[in-house]
Amino acid sequence: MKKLTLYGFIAVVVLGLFYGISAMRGMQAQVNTVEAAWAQVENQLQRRSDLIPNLVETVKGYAAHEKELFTGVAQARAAAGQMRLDVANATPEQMAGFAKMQGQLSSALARLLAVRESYPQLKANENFLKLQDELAGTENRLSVERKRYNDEVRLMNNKVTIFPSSMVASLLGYSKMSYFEVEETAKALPKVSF
Amino acid sequence: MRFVLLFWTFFSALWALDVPALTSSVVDTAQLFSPKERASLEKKLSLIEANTTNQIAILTLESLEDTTLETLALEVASTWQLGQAKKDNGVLILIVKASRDIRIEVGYGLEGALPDGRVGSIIRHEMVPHFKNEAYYKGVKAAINAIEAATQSEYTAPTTQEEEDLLSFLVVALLLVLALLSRINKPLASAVGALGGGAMGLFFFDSIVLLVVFGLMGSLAGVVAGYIPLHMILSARSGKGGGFKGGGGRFGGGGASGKW
Repeated sequence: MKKLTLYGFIAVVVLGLFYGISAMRGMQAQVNTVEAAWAQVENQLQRRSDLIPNLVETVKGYAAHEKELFTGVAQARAAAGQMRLDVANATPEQMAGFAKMQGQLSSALARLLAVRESYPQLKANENFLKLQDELAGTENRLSVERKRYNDEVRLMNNKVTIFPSSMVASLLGYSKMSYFEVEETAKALPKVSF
Repeated sequence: MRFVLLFWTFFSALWALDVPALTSSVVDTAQLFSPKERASLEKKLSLIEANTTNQIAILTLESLEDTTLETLALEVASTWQLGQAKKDNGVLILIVKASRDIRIEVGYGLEGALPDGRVGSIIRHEMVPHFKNEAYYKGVKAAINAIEAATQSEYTAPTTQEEEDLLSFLVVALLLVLALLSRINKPLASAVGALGGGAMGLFFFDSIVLLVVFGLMGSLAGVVAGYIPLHMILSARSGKGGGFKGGGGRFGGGGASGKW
């Protein structure tokens, strides 16, 4: 009888250990997935930033005196470019600050694109239209990657907060990760129509 | 594996209710093409796929209902999995009749050959002028030619056998070994089944839970396999079905939109 209890105990410990290892591997894998998804978000932000000089030059060719628009875009771009985020340890406040900077750049770009309505020649310029497509495409990719990132964060946060993996998480020090949420206005503005 | 895939297909179909079924490379819900035009487009698209492995599909819709053009295009392209796995070389041409919207969604692998700016000018110069005269076939055909020209140099390598077939091959091979062993020695077959199943669970799914589950299933299979006729196991590996199917390509929101 004593022997049976001992075997039962060993079996429970071994199964628990198996579960713990499996949960730990799952969580670390999810952290890596979230970081990879974030790298994709950063790629698109970088891509957008790289498009701006060309776009500004093209607009300048037709609307040289809209100076405050150009400085507005340049400042927003510089501010957004300077901000770096360690996504694995970012607090929701840091993430919100990051999103706000990117949102300001989106608004500045939308204002820049809006000048096309006052300059028919700019609106008909093939190079401008192509850059506008590239920018719209990048914003679209950005929203796709942002959604994928947030989906992965949600999976991670489920692991961290839902029993029984939450026990393993608190034991090993895994915590919730931050969503990348963009203000509605920033999302709606860069929408480009023809 | 087929079982898992079946379940996955079933649930993803449930989740994406508003994505039409991929019955052909031209899904003409809005009836913009005559049967003859449709057949000609299908022929052209299958020729492109045979030459370059690039997969292009066309979807026409009456209206967008309550979604946006970009969201719908990405959802359709991702659900249909246009393009080959690993190459991600799919293109979706989406045409919405009521709102006069055009979107060309480009898979990850073709974003280099088809940057958004180029896709935008294909829409503006190849499609919109024809569409304004309701010459939808001409416009789509011109767009396909332009896409073909832009992507010709991109991929010429022949398709390789997909890797996920390896697992279903191994499962059948293991079952076959177990069936033979089990006729000779059941405990030995059971042990081999546990080891083989467990190894598959660990290496293919990287999960210790599945190691245990597959191991138990394998050990059970070792006992039972002796009663299954060999030809039944062999016939479990069936070939691909006919019709137009996506190859597993992925999309990330690249492409451009336009209106006519």
